[in-house]
Amino acid sequence: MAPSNGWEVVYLELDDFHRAAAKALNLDLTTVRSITNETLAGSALAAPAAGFGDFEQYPEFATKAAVLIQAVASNHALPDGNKRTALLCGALFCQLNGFAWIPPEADDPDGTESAEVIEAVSTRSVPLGALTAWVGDRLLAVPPALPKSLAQRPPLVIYPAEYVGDLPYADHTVTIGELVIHDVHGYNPAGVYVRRISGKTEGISVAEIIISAVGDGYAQEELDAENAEAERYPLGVKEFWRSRLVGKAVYGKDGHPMTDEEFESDWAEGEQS
Amino acid sequence: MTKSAADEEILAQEVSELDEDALIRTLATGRREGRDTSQEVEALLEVTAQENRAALDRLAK
Repeated sequence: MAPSNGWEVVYLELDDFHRAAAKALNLDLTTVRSITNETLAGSALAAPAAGFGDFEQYPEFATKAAVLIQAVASNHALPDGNKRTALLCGALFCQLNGFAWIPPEADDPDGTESAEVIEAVSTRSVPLGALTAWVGDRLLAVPPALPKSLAQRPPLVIYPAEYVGDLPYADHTVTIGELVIHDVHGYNPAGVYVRRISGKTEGISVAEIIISAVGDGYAQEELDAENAEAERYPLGVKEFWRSRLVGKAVYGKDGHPMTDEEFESDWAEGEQS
Repeated sequence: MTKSAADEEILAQEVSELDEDALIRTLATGRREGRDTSQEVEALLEVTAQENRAALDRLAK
């Protein structure tokens, strides 16, 4: 896994280590600097960049992060708090290279998984491959910033998922965020129907919005017609929705097209609920 | 329009994640451009420490 933005990897500096240690130990920077063995800290920070000439010992980014955590936890550059500093240094290294650090679900509520992994790493009882896999599961690529032209636009109105209600309009005009629809004629107020395509909260990226401007029951009729079409689909309802969503619906935080596995997972979740 | 507590929580979480994403982008870009990024580092360490508070407390024992 390369850094999410395709940039060259940037490594932590000694100042980053001091700040991470200060945060981990709840001490001021001056105190942390005075108790840090800079040779050992520098050695730990350089570990992920190990190599010779053009040869990189750890070309994969997740491996570099794992090596860093292992080195900081076990080099003992501080008299106390090396494991806590290792966790923060690992996360900071990933953030510096465009990844968010996502704690494991099993950390809720008492931090068990992360603490046990880092504890084991400090005694080097976790193989590097296993630690790399664990670190890889923590990484989430941060999406690129919006282009300036989009970022400067006023925010769009976000309606709650699965909202059904009225969208009043005046002077035959409907406004949703920056989108202004003129020449709307019909019964006032218009009906609006919003539903999310994905059932997972983390997967909300696209909402299907149907605005009924010519009759209150129109949006529901549209949905009923779609469901009726699904019932008639020769391969069944599930395959109907698969054909509509897989490879077409935008999914997840990075906005990738929904995969078959994600569809299966969502479908199974929907059947359970 | 009614907005459930769950919807509000989801929106608040999304906003908070957007802030963190912006910080990460500023840090990553700033460090590569040679700018002073100590404020971003401090802010992200604070966020990370909060998100991993339970694990850090366990490791301190």
